[in-house]
Amino acid sequence: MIEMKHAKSYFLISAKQDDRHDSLAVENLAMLRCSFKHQP
Amino acid sequence: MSESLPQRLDRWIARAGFNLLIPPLILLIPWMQELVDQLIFGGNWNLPMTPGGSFLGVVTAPFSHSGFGHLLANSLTFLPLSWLVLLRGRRDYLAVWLGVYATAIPVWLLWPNGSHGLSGVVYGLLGYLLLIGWIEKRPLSLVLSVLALVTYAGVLPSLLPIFSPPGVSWIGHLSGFGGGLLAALAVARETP
Repeated sequence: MIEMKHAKSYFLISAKQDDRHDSLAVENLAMLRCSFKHQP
Repeated sequence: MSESLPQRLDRWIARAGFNLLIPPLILLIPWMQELVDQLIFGGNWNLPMTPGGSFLGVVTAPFSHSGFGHLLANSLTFLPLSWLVLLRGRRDYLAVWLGVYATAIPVWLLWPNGSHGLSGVVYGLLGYLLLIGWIEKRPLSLVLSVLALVTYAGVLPSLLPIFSPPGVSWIGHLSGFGGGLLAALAVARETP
């Protein structure tokens, strides 16, 4: 799950402004590495 | 009259085939959401769980993502883990979802930051798989636990804040994982 630190509302929130894309990439890479490496 | 072996096998195959379809059908929801989000709202349509926000956010957060990369990564982990849990049955799969939603409620009520994404459910599935073999010590559940441990142990550090990169909701992962553990405890069968 990715934090939306500045999200004060629900529905229309800019993910680009809220999320740190480097962190997002880290989570994506960790998940993808596991998925591709060890796909049962 | 009791069923013959071929009849039972046919029934098992039919059930397994339907179970195979459940995770991709669930994934249609976040993929459609992301498609509409990107095409119509330019990436601004997000449905997170926000502090002090609507309870609806708890329900919709797993189906909302920051972009196709985030969703693709979660989908590729969600599918195999879902299928592994579904080998045990739909009751267990439903229990994991309910467990993840139940443990998300305190996070929604008490945690200061909002979050969204399917990885809370992914960690719930993982938590369930890791614990079920330990509790039951039956052949199938032990195989599932060992398989989950061998293939997905690499994502476990993300449960701890010291190993979780900034911006990633470790509390969302941890609460999802806890939900999966609760589900395993709830549905574990007595060893005969």
